[in-house]
Amino acid sequence: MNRRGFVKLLGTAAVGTILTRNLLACGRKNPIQVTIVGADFKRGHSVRQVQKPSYFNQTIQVKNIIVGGGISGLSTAYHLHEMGEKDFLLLEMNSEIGGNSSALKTPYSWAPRGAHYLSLPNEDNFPMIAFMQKHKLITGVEDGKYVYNERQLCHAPNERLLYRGQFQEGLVPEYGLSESSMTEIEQFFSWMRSLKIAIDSNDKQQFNVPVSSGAFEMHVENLDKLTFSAFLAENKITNEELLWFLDYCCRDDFGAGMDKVSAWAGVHYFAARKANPYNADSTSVLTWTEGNFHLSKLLAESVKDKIVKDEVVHEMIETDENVEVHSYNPIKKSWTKYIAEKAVAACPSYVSKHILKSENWPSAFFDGFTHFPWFIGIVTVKKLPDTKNGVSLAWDNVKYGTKGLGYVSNRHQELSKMEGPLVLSVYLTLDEMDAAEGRKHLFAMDETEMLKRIVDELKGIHPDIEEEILSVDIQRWGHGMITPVPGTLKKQLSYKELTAKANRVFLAHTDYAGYSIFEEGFDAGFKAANNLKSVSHERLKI
Amino acid sequence: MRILLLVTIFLISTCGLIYELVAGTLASYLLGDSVTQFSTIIGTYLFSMGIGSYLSKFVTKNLEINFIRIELLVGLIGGLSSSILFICFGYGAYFRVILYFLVGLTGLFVGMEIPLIMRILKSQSSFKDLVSDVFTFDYIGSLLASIAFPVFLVPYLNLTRTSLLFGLMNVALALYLIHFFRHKIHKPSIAFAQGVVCALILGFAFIASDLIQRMSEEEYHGDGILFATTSKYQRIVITRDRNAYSLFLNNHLQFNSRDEYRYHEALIHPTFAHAKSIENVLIMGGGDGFAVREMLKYPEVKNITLVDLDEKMVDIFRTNPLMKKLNNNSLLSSKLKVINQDAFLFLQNRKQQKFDVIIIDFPDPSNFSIGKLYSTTFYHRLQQVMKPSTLGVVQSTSPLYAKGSFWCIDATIRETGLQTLPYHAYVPSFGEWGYVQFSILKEAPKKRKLPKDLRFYTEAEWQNMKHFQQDMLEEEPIVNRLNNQALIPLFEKEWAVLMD
Repeated sequence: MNRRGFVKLLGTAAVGTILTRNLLACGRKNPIQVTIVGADFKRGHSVRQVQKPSYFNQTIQVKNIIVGGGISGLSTAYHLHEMGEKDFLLLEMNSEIGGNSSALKTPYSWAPRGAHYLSLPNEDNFPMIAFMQKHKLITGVEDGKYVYNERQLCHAPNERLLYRGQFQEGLVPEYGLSESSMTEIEQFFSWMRSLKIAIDSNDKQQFNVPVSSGAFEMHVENLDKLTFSAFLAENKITNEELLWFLDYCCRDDFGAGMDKVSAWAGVHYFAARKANPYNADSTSVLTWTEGNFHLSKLLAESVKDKIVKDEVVHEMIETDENVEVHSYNPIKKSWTKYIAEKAVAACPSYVSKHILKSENWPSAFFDGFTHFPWFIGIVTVKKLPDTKNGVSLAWDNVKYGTKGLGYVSNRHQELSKMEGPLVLSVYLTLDEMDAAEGRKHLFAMDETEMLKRIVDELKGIHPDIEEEILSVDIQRWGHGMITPVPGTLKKQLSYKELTAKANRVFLAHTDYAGYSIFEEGFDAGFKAANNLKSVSHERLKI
Repeated sequence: MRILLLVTIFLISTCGLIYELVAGTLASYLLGDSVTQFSTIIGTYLFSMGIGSYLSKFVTKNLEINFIRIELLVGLIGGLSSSILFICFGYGAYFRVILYFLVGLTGLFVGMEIPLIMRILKSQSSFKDLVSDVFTFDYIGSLLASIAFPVFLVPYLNLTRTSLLFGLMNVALALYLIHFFRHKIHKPSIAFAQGVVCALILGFAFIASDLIQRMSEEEYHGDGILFATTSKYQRIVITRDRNAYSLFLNNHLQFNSRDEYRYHEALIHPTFAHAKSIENVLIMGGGDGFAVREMLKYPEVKNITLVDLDEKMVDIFRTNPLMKKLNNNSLLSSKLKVINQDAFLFLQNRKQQKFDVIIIDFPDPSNFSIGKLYSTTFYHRLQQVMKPSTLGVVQSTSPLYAKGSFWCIDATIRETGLQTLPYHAYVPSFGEWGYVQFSILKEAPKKRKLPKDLRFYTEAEWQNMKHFQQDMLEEEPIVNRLNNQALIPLFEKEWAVLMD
């Protein structure tokens, strides 16, 4: 599954440019070991052409079946178990659970393959709070506020920005800003703060996490119709530093810049988070060396025996009597037919489109979701070149003015004095072209080209880092995450309507919230589990 | 001529032994473990002399000029050896290579000297007298060197200057011999010029020797540097000013031997005198052994577990004779168990073992890495090794110069549910210094008899130490958590104000 090779940086690619000559002049003596890691995308792609098995090696009867072992699927299983349900199975295509929230073990540290942190949940998100209390992410209550586990809260320094040659704390540019710029920035944030408490006519919060608990319907006709950049221009927000920061936030959380995402998504980012913790800031995050794989494991802990890995589902056929799931195991090379009363398709929209055969979920519904591609360079470096200009190495390290997202230091949460190499995750988006084109480009790039982009990103922050690199693991995500482009909320409305009419198959995925974060997947799973239990099989027959 | 050459033998043997002693001492200072250093240096040196003696038979012609050239080389290499080593000591792995190379080279040339001079002298007297005279003067020279070295040379000249001075003596001798043998030498002026160049190099180095020995550290340490090394974790420098020694870790003063007793008595005795039991002691940090020295004054102490990350630091204070004298050989005590481990990792792996007394003597919270050891998470973990009756103390920077930081440490400990008792003492080298005593329960203190030989701490003084004048009070202290590390910027700010 892993493609491993030694790549001499700039050995063959990009010959002749000025950059190349510079690099060759002070180039490395040894080639960098590059490994392409991650899920075998061929497994995922195999379902695009549905295969009809000539016979099934086995048939399994089960009450509920969950297809997909990412956060949404795991959360469905977790909540079924919490409700006392025992008769269910979860099928995962890969050999490891977690999907976007899985992790890679490097010789020096774990590293997240995708999602790497959890924001503090809003206090009205009761299922999340209960989950976090159960697993000691929340350890208690003081002065009426939740006390978070300090071991797991991101340790200081949390983030730093290389701006005007200085590393400053925090990612909003500050150093040497003019009075008027500071005022403009402050005005924007205070406007966003006022939206945090905005409510609709039914006293429902206008912006909330999960998205479905907010009054998102009221934004369908306005904020969902234009891009965030158009919205900012309309509101005369022109400050260069602020616009860079807002664009950075969009690329970081949605995989595409503010000219691609909707105004609703941009505002939601700043207006939906309302946590008021006892021992942290409202903007604090929880993080782990292995990223959100930690949360995948917590969800899977009590349902381990229900999870079947290496099961590639080719068809989910809903009939009046049951749901038939046809699944192929590429390791055993065998087909299994699962016959369930009800099922949850906890897979991305573009997978459900191919595999789900249900009158209640028309194929057209699955069109129009946008996923931008990503890739992540997990870079092991001997050490970081000394940076004496400002804040020392933080968890998240970003350079002002670039299109890149900087890097995360994966060993940041270790308590003991750091020894040995550092493991950095460099996140790269491909939002300069449209999503489908970017995806093609991502899989057309060879190791050398990807490595060059990863190393260039790091060199933007640490010019002398190249000599320190020991190895690079590259994780590609063709469909990185759902990008909330204009029209996302409209899509959510039809999801709501279709779910209300759904019979035996429910969908659970962050795609339908338009926002790929843990809480949305967790909520989707919570709701799917409730939907499975809410209507009895008997009643459905009538 | 015979007298001259015998004086020559006397001088070269003195110089030779001096180079050997300088190398041995320097290696012990810089690398610790003097037994190993001296024995390997002497071994290398003598072995190289043997090789030199062997090689001398290949010198068949022009004995005089070749002897003079060797003399110049010995003077130059031996003389500069300690300067070179002082400059190179920062280069870790290569240091030993350079050290043994220089010792070997010096030994090689010194080894050639005696055979050559015997051959030059062989026409002057019978073989029996020659052997007897040469070795008599050789051994007398060695005796003189071995007495002069510790008594006069090191105390008054220091190592760098000692070797340079003897290098100059070698060169001066060579110059005189050039003059003496001028008729036997082809073009003596060239040899003379070479000699003068050597003398100039050594002379210049002698004048600049202070610079060489101190180099970059001069600005931090006004006193002479006795010892400096870089461990995996920090720069360790010990300086000496007349009879007082100071330890600097990453250029932060850790103690001055003139008044460290105040700091360490205030750290140890308020807790040892009042703890319910003092049988099992945990100390984190404190690899210098001073705190352990104070603990060992109580015969009831049975086991001391010292957790210090830096093995090298503990090694220096366990083996260096000067430092051993200062800590009263405390690190060699049979009651002591040293664990070189990160404090967090130590606590993680120790859930069964509980301690009666816990002493925390970490460096000041000057960076994020050390700041973790002053966080709520650390004090929570610490409670896993505490009994209900355990009494502990944390060194907590200055409540006068950094009062926000001091009270932040106190508030952080209290935040984890522990009871605290803050106190302070005056340590001239540091100024007003603070400590925070902590326990799970607020119990009446036990009154244990104090050891007899205390110089600062008394039960009466304890009453004063607990009182804070108003300039040391802080209204609203903040709590240091892993996710804010509020102590670090505060500590930096408070001390920066003082340095302006």
